[in-house]
Order: sequence, then C-alpha cells, then structure tokens
Amino acid sequence: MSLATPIAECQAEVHGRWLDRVMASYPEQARPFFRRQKNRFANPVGQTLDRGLRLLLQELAGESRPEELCRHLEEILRVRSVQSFTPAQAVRFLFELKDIVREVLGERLADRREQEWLGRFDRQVDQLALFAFDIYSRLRERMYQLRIAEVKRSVSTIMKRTGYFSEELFAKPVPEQKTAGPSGAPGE
Amino acid sequence: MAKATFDQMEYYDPQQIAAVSHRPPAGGWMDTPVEFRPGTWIYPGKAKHLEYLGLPNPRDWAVTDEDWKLPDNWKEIVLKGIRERLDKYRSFKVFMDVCVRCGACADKCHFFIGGGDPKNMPVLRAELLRSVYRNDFTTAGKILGRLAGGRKLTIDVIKEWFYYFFQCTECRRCSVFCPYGIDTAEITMMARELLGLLGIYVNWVIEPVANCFRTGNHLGIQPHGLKDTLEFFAEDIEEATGVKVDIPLNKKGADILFVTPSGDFLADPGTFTCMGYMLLFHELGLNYTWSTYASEGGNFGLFTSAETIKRLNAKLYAEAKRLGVKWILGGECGHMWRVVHQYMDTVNGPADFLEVPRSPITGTVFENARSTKVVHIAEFTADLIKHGKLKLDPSRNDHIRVTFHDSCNPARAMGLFEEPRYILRHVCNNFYEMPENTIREQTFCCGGGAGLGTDENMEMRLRGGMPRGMAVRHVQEKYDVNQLCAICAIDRATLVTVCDFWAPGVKVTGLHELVANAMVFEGENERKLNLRLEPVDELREEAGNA
Ligand code: SF4
Ligand code: SF4
Repeated sequence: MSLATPIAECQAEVHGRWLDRVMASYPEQARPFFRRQKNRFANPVGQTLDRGLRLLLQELAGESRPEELCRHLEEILRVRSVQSFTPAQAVRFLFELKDIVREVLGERLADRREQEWLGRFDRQVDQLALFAFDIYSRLRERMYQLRIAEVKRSVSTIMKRTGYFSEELFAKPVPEQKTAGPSGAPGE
Repeated sequence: MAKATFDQMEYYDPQQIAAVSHRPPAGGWMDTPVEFRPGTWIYPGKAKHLEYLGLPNPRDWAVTDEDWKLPDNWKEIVLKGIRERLDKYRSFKVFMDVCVRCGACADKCHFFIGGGDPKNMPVLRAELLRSVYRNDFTTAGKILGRLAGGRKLTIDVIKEWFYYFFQCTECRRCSVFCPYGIDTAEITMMARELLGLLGIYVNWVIEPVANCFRTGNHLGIQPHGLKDTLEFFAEDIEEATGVKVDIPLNKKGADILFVTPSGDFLADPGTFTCMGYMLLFHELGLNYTWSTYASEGGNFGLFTSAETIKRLNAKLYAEAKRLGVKWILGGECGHMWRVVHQYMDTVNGPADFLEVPRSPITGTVFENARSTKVVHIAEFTADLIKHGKLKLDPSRNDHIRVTFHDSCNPARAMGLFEEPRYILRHVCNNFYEMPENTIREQTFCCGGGAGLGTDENMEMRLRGGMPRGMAVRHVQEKYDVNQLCAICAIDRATLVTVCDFWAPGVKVTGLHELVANAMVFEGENERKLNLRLEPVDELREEAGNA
C-alpha cells in the first residue's frame, strides 16, 4: 500500500517517541525500569508496550489489516486495563500518534500528496481508537465477569449440592467482535 | 539533571549508583497521600468478627470514610506497638536498621512490575514504616527529622500503611534478591500487627480467622457440614472410578491426622484435589483420619498477628493429641507451610507427644519434619512413587499439557521444588516449565496471597498476577500448555482468574487431582470420567484437535 510509505521510512523514530509518550503515563520512578529491563518476563509491562507499539506501526505502515491491528491493540490494552487508568487515559496514546507523526515527518509533509496521505492516516488513527474503545471495554467487562465467576466457584460445592451449579454459570472468554466503528477496515 | 532520589529507578542505575551517597534521602513520596482507587483496596473487617476474637476497636467503617474511627490515643498505641516489637523481635529491629537501599529488591515485586507504583517497590514499601521508626526511635531521626529520612506519624500515614501493606502478598520474592536478607514480608507483618492494634483489619482475613477460631476452619464449615461434603465427594469419586472410599472422621488411634486447607472442601478446582487425597489414602489402606475440629490446614493468623497464628495453629497439635495420632500429614496448601516451617515450633512446639513421621507404606523417616512432625503431602507421595508403591498410568493424563506454578510459600519458605515436579513427571507425560526467572525461588506470586484473594480488589490482583500470567501465556503459546498445576488452595482459586485474564484457555488443577486421575485402583471401573466427571475421550479428542 503506497499510502503507508511516509511512516514506513521513519518507523524507528516514531516508535521511540511514541513509547516515550506512553511511558509518560506511568510514575516517573518506574519509567527507567519499564524502558531498560529487556527481559519480558522480568518486565512484562515495558516489553509488551514496546513490542505492541512496534507491531502496530508495522501494520499501519503495511497492510493495516483490522484483525492484526486489533490483536496488537489488545495486547497493549490488556496491560493498561488493570493499571488504574481512566478509560480515556488508557487509550489516549493512540491520539498522540497523530502529533508524533507530524513532529517526525515535519517538512516532508509539505506537498499535496503527502497532505492527502496525512488525512487518510488521521482517519486510520481514529479507526484505531474506535477499535480500542471496544477492546478496552470488553477487557473491563471480562474483569467483572471473572470476579463474579470466582465468587460462584468459591462455593461450588454448595451450589452443586443445591442443584444450582452448571458450567454455564461461569465466564467463558467473550467472543472476539469482528469489526468496530462505522467504516470497516481502517485505511480503506 | 536533578540527582535521583532512592524512590526513583535512576538511583539504581549501575552507572550512577557509585555516584549516589547512601545518606537517607528526604523524598517527595512522603508527602503524597494515598489515593484510594476503586478495585485496589479491600473491605475492612466487620465489627462482629473483631468482637468474636476480642480484638480492639470493633466498629463498622468504610475505607472511603474520611474518619476511620480510630481510638483517641491512636498515635500512642502505634508508637508503643513499635517499641514493643523492636524489643521482642530482633529481626524487626535489624530490618529497620540495615537496609542500605541498594535497590536490588526494587524491581522484583509483582505489584511494582505490573503497575509501576513506586510505593510497591519493596524498599519503599518498607520505608513507609521505616521513616516513622527513624523519626521516633533513632537519635539521628529525633534530631534531624526529615533530613535523616524520618517522618511524623499522621492519620495519612496510617491510611497509606493500610493501602500498601495490603498490597503486599508476603510472597518474599524481594527477599531472595536482598544481599542483607531483609524480608519485606516480615515488615508487612509488623505493619499489619500495628494496624490491628487500632482495629484496622480486612474482612477477607478477619472473617476466616473468626470462623476458624469458632469452627476449626476458615470457611466456617461445621462438623456435620464437613461430613456431608466428604460424603458428597465420595459419591462423585465412585461415579468417576467405581471405587468406594471410606471417610475416617475424628478417628481415635489413627496413625496420621490429615489436614488440608478448607478451600479444598468448598471451591472448585480444589475439591477435585481433595477427592484425589481420598482416593490415594483409600488405595494405600492408610490408617488416617480427618478432623472436624482441626479442619483447616491454612492459618490466616499469618496475615493478622503472631498471637493469632498461635491461637489458630494450636488446634492442630491439640487435636493430634486428643486423637492420639503419631504424626500429621498436610495437604496442598501454601501459607500453611510458612507457618509450619517457620513459626509452629516456636509458637506451639515442641510436639514431643508425637512421633517423628515415618511413612507406614515405605518406612521412610521424614527427618526434615523431626521437629514439627508435619509432612507435606508432596513429600509423602513422591516417596511412594520412588518406592514403586503406586500403580500409575500417566497416559490417562495425555490430554493434559501441564506447567507447574511454584506457590510462594512451599517454594520460598520450605524449598519444596523437586517433589512436586518428580510427581508431575510420573503422572503426566507432558510437563513444561515456565521461564527460569519465573519459577522455583524466583516464582511470581498469583497476586492474591496473604489475604488479598478477595474480589473487590480484582484490578490490583490482576495487576499483581500479570508477571505470572504472562509466563503462563508464554508456555501456552510455545508448548500448547492447557493446564497449570499448583499446590496451594489460594492459587487454585486466584490463578483460575489470572489465567482466564492473561492466558485464557489454561485451566488450573491441583497435583493430587492429576495423581488420582493417573492412578490405577484396585477394582476400578473403565475410568471413562475424570474426577471432574468430564468424559476423558472427549477431552482427548479436543486436545488432539487443538
Ligand atoms: S535489597 Fe535489601 S538492602 Fe537493598 S534496598 Fe532492598 S531491602 Fe534494602
Ligand atoms: S513480599 Fe512479595 S508482595 Fe511483598 S514487597 Fe516483597 S515481592 Fe512485593
């Protein structure tokens, strides 16, 4: 997709700045650890964000397949959904991508063709944000479902004995929702 | 750039650390009051439970109330409490004094790793209490106050203690990395005792404590209830295996008293592990007994106070004495083993009236339990397998691809690493380890230990459970792992949720559930169902297709 070319050229720089912005949402004292510890089991937050943002950018620079975008978003948001952020704080980083791309591409966005690209890119980011709303709320719903399921499980013997027990009472993974937002795949 | 203070990770940067003096810093964190975010804290203990236990200041209150209804002389009570504990516990005094803030522990706590709140760095968690100690109990602190890293005890400090000392699962992962052996879990225990002096408890701990004190177990199951439950299990066991097990209850003159956490009586999937014990003992023809009075292996006193540990634990020896057993066998519990190995002997021992445990089946003497007289079921079963005393068909578990979660206490408090793995390898053909820095002594907590395993703090639990969950997810992706085995009742409750969130599709099982499902019993049926009463053929097919 030729549209994607401008960010394809400077992915690494966009990624670095984007990660900085995301990191800025964490306490100052934790940022160096989240950034520097490269072992993903010792530092699941930092490494998930690092990797997730990189994959999102790659996908945006390439085919922008909705399923892939959602998959990478979900990895990031699963982490951010349990970190005491408000919903807006949790997904804010997506909108920041617009600024970052302008900062990085700067003068290269001067001509009309690039301006058109930028318009389409902004819409892609909006679409990404819509995906993110869906995914984030699904994860939060899941958390509450799990909370209920756990309470039921804690008295499963009594429920079985009184005939109230059935497997259906327990939370199954919520099925993936196919599309989000009004306009189908982003970037189309 | 401003010089980093010790609550900042830069401070621990290898390049910088040499440049930083170890003078106690006066940090901005001291003045940041706690923000009680929903989903991160636990409901306070109800008045009726405190009354039942004779604990101070029983009242009903809410964490979100401005006024926590503390006694007028609360400050005096806490400072006196610190004094008493400094005099009583040398370890506490040492831990208050010797931390050099090297930072080795700073990034080892699952709550810090999962969320980045600096007050979840073990070093800073301890500092919440240490700063008050400095201010009021050290000469430098008394004179220099802030400059010496001291701070005044205020109501906000009390609230902060409540918030952060109930965000510590006393898992002791941090202590593994401390060059001075400082055990932050013990600092948490001290802080919780101090809060307790003001009547500040969490209900998820203090209700089980009251239940246990009254009925003998955390869940408040009464003798007839326990009998019913075990009979109910026996019915399911018969349906699954065709084997009719007997249920020896309060049997005087039995060789062995068996105790297990009461979670195994009530909560799936622990219930299946309980059935596993029943089948194993039946097959061995073991002369053992359950007790309806000492019907709790766990001891939530550990999360309350030393005194409460003693009060609840005493029941075990008293019942062993009353029944005249030779020794005690303990089930798959986590914190029970911290109590047994590190406190039981001191608070209620020595149990001279009991014999040094010896397996009646193999003759093995459990020297390691010479003093407490309590043997871990994994030691017992591993010994049986080693001596070829169990008929096992591990292919019966072939649909299971299992990983093993080292529960914090059996791992770090008693060093039980090999026995459960040895058993697993004999009852399952597909066993896969999680990454090295997440198992054995470095194991990551489930996020719900030490009284945090309730549901109102679910967000905090999932945050703390993230490092464990991510490691599970890794083996799920790499080896198709579909079950996680844990030898702790809290794990069997909380890790189900952790897995459902971080690694959906991975189920949780106890060790003896797997043992029983692989065992070949005398007079068994065709074994078409497992202990969960699931058709094994279908499970196989599912696994084959996966
Ligand atoms: S590792 Fe030990 S000495 Fe170092 S900061 Fe932590 S508690 Fe203090
Ligand atoms: S004991 Fe565990 S939960 Fe507590 S501070 Fe240490 S690592 Fe964190």
